[in-house]
Amino acid sequence: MLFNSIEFILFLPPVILFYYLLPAGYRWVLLLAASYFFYMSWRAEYGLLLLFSTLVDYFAALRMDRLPTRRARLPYLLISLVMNLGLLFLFKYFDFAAGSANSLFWKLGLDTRMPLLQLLLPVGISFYTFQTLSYSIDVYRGEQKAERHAGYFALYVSYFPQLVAGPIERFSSLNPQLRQAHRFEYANFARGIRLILFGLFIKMVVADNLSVYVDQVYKNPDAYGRADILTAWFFYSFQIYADFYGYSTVAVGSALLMGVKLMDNFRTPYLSRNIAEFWQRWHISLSTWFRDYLYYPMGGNRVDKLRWMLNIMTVFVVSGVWHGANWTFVIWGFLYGFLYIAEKQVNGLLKIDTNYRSFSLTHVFLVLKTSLLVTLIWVFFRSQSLGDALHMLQLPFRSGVVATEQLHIPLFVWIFLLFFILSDIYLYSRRLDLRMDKWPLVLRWSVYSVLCFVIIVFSGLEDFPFIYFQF
Amino acid sequence: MKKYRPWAIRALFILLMPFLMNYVYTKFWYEDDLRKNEDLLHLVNSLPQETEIVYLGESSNITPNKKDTNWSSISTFLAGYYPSLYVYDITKPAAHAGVYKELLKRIPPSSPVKTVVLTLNLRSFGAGWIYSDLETSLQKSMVLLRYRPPLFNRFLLAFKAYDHASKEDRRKQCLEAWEQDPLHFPYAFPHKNVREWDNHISSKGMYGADGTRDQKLTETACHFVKNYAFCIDTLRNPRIRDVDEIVELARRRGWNLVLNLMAENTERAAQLAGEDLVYLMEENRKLLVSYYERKGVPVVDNLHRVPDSCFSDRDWPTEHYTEQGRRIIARNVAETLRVFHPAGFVLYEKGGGRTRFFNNCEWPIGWDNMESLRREKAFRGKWSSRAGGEDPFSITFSYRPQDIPAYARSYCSVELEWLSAETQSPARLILELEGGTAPYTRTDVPLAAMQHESADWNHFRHEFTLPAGFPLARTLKVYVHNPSEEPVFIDDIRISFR
Repeated sequence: MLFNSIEFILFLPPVILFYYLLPAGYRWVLLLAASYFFYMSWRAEYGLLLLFSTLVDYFAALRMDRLPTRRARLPYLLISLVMNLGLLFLFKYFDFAAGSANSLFWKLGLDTRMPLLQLLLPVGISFYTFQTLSYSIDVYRGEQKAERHAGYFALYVSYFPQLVAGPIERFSSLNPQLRQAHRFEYANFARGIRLILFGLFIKMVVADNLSVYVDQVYKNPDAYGRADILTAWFFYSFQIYADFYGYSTVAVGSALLMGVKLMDNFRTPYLSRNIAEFWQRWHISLSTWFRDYLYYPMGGNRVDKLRWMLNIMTVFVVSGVWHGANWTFVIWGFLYGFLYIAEKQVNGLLKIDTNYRSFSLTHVFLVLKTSLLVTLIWVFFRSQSLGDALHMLQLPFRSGVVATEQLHIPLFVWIFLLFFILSDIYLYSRRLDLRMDKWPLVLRWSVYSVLCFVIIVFSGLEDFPFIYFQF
Repeated sequence: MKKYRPWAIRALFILLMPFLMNYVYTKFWYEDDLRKNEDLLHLVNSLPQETEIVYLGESSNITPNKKDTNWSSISTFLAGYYPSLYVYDITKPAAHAGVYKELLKRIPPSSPVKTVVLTLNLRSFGAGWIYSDLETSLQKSMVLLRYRPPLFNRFLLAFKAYDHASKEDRRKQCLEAWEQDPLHFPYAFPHKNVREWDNHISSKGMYGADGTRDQKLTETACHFVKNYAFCIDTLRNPRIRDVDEIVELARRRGWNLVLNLMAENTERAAQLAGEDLVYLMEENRKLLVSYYERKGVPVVDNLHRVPDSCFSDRDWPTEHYTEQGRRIIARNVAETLRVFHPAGFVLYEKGGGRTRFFNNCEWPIGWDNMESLRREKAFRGKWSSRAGGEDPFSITFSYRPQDIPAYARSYCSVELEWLSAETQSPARLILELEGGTAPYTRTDVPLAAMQHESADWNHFRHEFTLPAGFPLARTLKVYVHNPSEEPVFIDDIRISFR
């Protein structure tokens, strides 16, 4: 079930209604049933995978909780890691590994071929696997008591607003909120609706309309001229942001309707001054996951410089691989790691002071620099293969080629994109739902009306699923 | 009282905004959306007001064979049998009764339509068509067609409130149907379902005259099985429900309904998959004929009427016929229509065809130079064709003279509505014959020749006398040419031959 579908519009109101009608002690039953229904409406059989991950981590954590030392808990952590990552590998990476191995065998002249499984990737498997792993690791570390109530634990793993594309929540943050007896509060409800409307707007109106032109160019880049190729780079940069930010915003808004506060996944990332700041503002729940469960355990920055660089590169390359089984994602992660280290080194060498006023000339210049780098790196993310990405990056600099196609972009697409960029500037380090609290009632309701109208009338009509669903 | 003010404002927004938004959308964006996202409504809207017989068809109506001497559609041949009646078609490739149902609902109750001929394609009742991947775009097209507030339709479209299964899901549904739907034979048959039958053929293979496996032929045989091996269940089949609704609609609207069950290539089906497959086709045919005749609807049974040589496609089961095939179908339909229109029927064997043409300039279909369509002015609807200024030519009727029936080759009558701000507009109506072995001929008449009022719509009518050798020309064109900078607007163009 997609957030931008009629099914979700029909699904959410009764869930919210019954949530508040039911006694607090029984709400988990409703939410668990709703979450599994939400997930299984996509493909029922993959609900079993979700259940399997849940059971493995539930029992592994219970066992770990009873054991006094990390050493004693380790086997159960390993069971959890092997089971969860094994499933992830099987569904997401096996064919990539087998394909890469087959190419290698072929190059070596070996007549060996590994079979490809061609399994359909379960939606959100990377998200819920990481979410449930964070719980197992926390219990292993002794930082989290194991949840004894199987229902609440299953709900933590499957809570529908953030099940398929995050934010990846920590048990310590989400579980207490799911257990809390929330009373209906109009303020929360209004904020939730605001976020849902704004999220749908940026997904359906901004991202989906941009994707039409991005897809056109990426499908046949040789047919387009320099300006159109650059437009496609630029549009994709905003398409993926609007798409994922839109999803996360609807997720946060939907949860807020139930009084549950999910973490913010984005904080105006395109207004970052450098790559390090970009990753503090982009897909925050994943960045912090890697920080807490990979970067810190490897020593973080409390190691010698070379080791630190290796740690950074490892985190970014693993982050790339998390996104998808393709060399393009590996390079994408590698480039971020490289730029992260390079920027830190340059700043250190030149002793650049990073404390300047927001939207000062320096800030604006650095924001443009970071946005340009990010836009270039997204080309790897969007391309089907490394060859395609390099070709796409070379195209604007070729000469003597005549374009046979041209993008015809309606004015409204530019207007909504501009509005989206301006809204980011307006919301710099702030949240829309909280900012709107201060607006007069008539203005707020006028904005709701306009958002509803624009979503209905200007949404893209092709079937564009959320990009991050594939991860 | 002040306490309730915010709630009153909210209530006001909730109550008023939907109406206001619907009004704004309908006024400024609805029509553009229809043009961009809906390619069916224009088919109904472009029907001339005087239409008496509507022929609804899919690609079988219009797909010619390259070797044909006459590329006329089935409906055009049909029109040739009823020269005194206004016979027009609504043709949408890959359409089926579910689509026709929505289209028919859009015909205004005031329309003089008396008879509806509905194409029934046997394959459209099978899983291969029901779960076709073309279905999603058809379903999407139909959302804006429905009689509901336009904004609500746009909302449903935006939130994908239609059957929008992915290609993979459609394929899965189709495979499930081929596996689960049983095949009923009155004798022992070795295959339980289509899947088994298909697997059997593809593993056994078809062999050519030289004794080697012919892969193409094998695939064609499999396609025939997948397309025709099914047993219609009148309770479950969605197409039956659709046709039933059309029967009901026709009854309510007082239309004569004729179901035109298309010819299938039973000869080739027998060669490729054996008489068992033909048996199933015949059983389905019998069921459809008896089911609808019991409801009082005549069914033109063409199943075996077109020989193998009259089918255009060799590697795929289709209802694409050669000229001869299209003529056979048209003749059968025409004969059946005699029950409803006994006086209008005229027998002809060759050289028949359509004699009346109409364009209301509302939709960019069919004619040439459709770029001249503008929203600036309109006699009826919202669009007209503009000639003058940058482009001096109006939309252009372009037709093969030899497709005009022999009895209608003396005169060409043109009627149109036109508007110009000039009192003496230099715009001229032109009839042109070009190409082929006939000499180039150009006849014209000034629009201003007839009494008219500037800045208002004027009716114009002129009858051209056609030169004797005109069928030898390659193309006959009728258009308005206006060399002036001041534009002329043309609307509701009617062309008829007699």
